[in-house]
Amino acid sequence: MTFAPTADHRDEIARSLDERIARYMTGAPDDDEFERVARKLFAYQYERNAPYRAFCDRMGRRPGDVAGWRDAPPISAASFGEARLACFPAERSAFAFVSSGTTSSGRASRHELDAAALYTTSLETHYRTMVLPDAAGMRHIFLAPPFQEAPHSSLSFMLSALAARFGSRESGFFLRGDSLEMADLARALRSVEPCVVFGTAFAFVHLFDRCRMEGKRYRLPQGSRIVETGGFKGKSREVERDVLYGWFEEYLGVPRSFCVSEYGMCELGSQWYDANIADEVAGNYRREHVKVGPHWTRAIIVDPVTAEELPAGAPGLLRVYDLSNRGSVASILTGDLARTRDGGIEIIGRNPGAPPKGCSIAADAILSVTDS
Amino acid sequence: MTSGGVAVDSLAAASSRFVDEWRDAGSAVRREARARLSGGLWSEPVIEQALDNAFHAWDGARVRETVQDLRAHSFPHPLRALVILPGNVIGPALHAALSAAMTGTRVLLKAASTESVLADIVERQWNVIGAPLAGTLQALSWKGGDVDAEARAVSEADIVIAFGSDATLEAVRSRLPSGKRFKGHGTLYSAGVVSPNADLTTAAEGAALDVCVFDQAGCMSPQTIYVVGDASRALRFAAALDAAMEQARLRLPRTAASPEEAAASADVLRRAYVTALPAATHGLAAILSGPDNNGAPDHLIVVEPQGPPTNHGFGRIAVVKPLEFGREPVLTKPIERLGVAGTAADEIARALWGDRDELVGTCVTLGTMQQPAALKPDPLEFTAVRSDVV
Repeated sequence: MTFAPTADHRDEIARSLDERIARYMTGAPDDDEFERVARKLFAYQYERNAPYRAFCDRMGRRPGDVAGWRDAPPISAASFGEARLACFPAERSAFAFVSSGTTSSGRASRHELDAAALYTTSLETHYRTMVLPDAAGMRHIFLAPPFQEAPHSSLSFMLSALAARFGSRESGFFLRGDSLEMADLARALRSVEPCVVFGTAFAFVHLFDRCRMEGKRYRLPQGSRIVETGGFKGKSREVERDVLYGWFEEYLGVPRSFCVSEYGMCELGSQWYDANIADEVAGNYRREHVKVGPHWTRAIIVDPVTAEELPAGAPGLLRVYDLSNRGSVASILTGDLARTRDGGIEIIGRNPGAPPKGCSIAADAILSVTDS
Repeated sequence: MTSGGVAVDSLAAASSRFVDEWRDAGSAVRREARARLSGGLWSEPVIEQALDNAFHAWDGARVRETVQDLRAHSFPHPLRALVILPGNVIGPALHAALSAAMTGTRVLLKAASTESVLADIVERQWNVIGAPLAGTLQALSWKGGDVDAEARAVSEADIVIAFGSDATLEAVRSRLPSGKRFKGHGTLYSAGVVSPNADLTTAAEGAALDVCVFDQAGCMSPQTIYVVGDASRALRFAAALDAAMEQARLRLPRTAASPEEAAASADVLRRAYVTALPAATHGLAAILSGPDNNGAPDHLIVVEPQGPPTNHGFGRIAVVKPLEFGREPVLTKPIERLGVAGTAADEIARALWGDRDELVGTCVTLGTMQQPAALKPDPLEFTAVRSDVV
């Protein structure tokens, strides 16, 4: 499969910074270099990203105050829907990823890139570590649309990049609009070679509903694996995670140890994956529901009110720092609740955020079925 | 003359008595409501203000007149209605009861867990009032997600009226059997506007009153207040609003913020650091916080650039925006109410909604936004005139 996002509107400074970050991504972890790059990146983003600069000024933080990544003030992920958080002028924008949700201002989050090179290096490098540690490539079956059909979806961009980098010639996308192309998908699922099935949770639920209706079960070859990412809202009925993972085994024949969940968002260039495939392949103790990010990111758990770091294991908001966000803001406070565990993070839910609102709240008796 | 087989005079008299008792701050139902609602979402003074507001535009004469008007609609038989109530405001429980009373509808009031008091009080009140209301209203409650209980209630109703988010309403609607009538009241917001001739202090006092009743959680709460003029006038209004909120909290205090609200407020504040106007050189702040309330600011005012409304919808958080003429209209989605301070001129309307008059439900005076003139749900919804067949 070919996928060559060639648009590149970086200036020399951005290009030079990207090259340094890319070297760090593909090299060995080095805390000192990470902090040096973080300081440089903060100075760059403070200078070029006016809304972030205003935020930092209000927080009383300027480049001279930042000794490392922890000192870079984390901006709320929701702010990506309320201001253009980019380090380059709009005319230099090459890609724009838009989230499905909206903020209180009624706008969706928007994350712009002036080039895809760093973004692609990031997603490919960590995917290989966490999903394909034992294979150079594999057939990929995507239950999502390709980037050409969803040009503002960061997920579709990622999947198209993965298909081009790691997918065999038989790889394909089997979701058009909101519908699975069942006949083609059924043929693909009879693959005789190990494969990766990568899709949103709602697409998997839809697939398994069809399997039940039609009395079909597949047995993917040993070594096959599942990558599932969030995405039930407004699309399909929700099911418990353990139930869904049981269906992976029941309908696709993929054991729990080779099923992982991906955590990512439109506002972040990097992804976090469950550690169990990497652990299994390495022969290590297999962690479950523990997500690990790449070495060019940091993740800590903070108090939702004060944003102060919490002790290990305490639940709180997930704060991340991501060098791959060179063109926007590297330091982000997500709206997700998590805790640290076994060298990674465990996502435990979504911050309830604002209490229900409008004259409408209420039908709370009915809500638990539809809103979780 | 009858309405659904019930004598109109009898309906009017019973409905008037229902309203009169709720308008009388010393009545048994008001005393009970005060006692049972306090300690919940709102402080006692806020509850009292909200109960005063609920039927402020209604009296016996208007009730009789409305019942007479409703004769124009021929009811084949008294409809049975299920009303799924909101839990963040007081009005709809009482309004649903009055609309049902005036139309002679048998009604099931499904209360929210956060406000389950009023439906229960009204049920017993109607039994005391006697015929024709006695026994025609039943308060219901069921645990979240109990679709069986919902289905049982739905089966007893000809029409379902529900308050909820758009997703919730769609979920309710999708579970209704074919042929059932449905009317949904989805999420709506309101806004305020301060005209060029308005006194900023007076306008701020009115806005503070509208903000404090229901703590910005109601559809008639002014989430964003536009101030005609440049940024400096918006900043001056925000300073006046901050002072007015300080005064208002003495008269209409808040209850303690929950940990969830504290977290949500902190997020709003962090986002305000991005969205607020730059700090003014003349010392007027673009972000103004009230005193600490259990980890959340008692109130929060953010001055943002001109643009569409920002709707946070909780916690006495108000956004102030300048409104300069000659730019794109700021409203692109419907709002429930517009509270106006000063004179409402055509040029203000053009700046707010251009030629799309349908975007604004009603215009009222800032400071009276929480005083509904009409009932919601209104009586015609109980006559199947304003509902859809599923």
